Amino acid sequence: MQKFLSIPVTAELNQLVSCNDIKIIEVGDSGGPSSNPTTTTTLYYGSGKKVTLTHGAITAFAFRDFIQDSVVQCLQQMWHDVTLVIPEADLPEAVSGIAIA
Amino acid sequence: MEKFLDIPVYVLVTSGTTDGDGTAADELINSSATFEDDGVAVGDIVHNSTDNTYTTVVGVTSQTVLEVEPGDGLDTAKAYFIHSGTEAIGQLVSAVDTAIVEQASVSSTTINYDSAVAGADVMTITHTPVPVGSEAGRNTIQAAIVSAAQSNWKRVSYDQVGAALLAAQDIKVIGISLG
Repeated sequence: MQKFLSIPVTAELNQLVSCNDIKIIEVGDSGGPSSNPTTTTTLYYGSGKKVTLTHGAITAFAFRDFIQDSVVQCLQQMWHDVTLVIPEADLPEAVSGIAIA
Repeated sequence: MEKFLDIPVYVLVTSGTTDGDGTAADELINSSATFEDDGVAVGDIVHNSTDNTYTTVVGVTSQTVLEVEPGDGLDTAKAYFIHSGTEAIGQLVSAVDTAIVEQASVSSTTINYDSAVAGADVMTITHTPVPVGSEAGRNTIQAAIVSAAQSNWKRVSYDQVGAALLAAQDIKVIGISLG
């Protein structure tokens, strides 16, 4: 069953990010938890793909915890609620970009 | 159906490298440290990553000296990481597609996923040590994966694993990595 976070990206409207097959969510970019830990958060998938969110600087773990909670909330939705739309005002910091590697 | 273990990871308080011999006095010495300012407290976890040994803070003597468990004093030039003994932040770890769980060492448990992709197939959970020969970490994670799989579909995150690890062997997780 496909589920997505719908994340507002500055000047780009919303972008969908899959909630399926996530293995772990970490602070930092695709270089690891010690690489840009306050401004990036990365979702690691079982396929080996990594989706990195670039966001405003924030206390360690706060953005990761927000994404973790959002993923859980999304997966708890009924089957026909495929996306969890995250209001821009709910983001701990604005997301300026989403990239996959 | 997606399921996650919500594993409490005890937060890193400070880290550094010793520059004094604390073996005789059961101490950890770093002349450039600021242990009091950093909030190091009695009960915090000390991981000597040079030797991969663990001990506990039993006293904060000064900004630069900590008292540790008897017999656990650190020699000079030992890299250390000090984690809170009480404050932890939950990290979600996938509990699906698991092939096997292993007690990889006394201080690490691995979840090996059914994946052919290197870098996405082994989750390493680093924790305070269990006795040699014990499989307490493995057994607890295994039981948590089973419980998570048995839970209602709306219970996506299984959050009883931290308490179970403490109950098993007073196990505290200090790091989780996928690789």
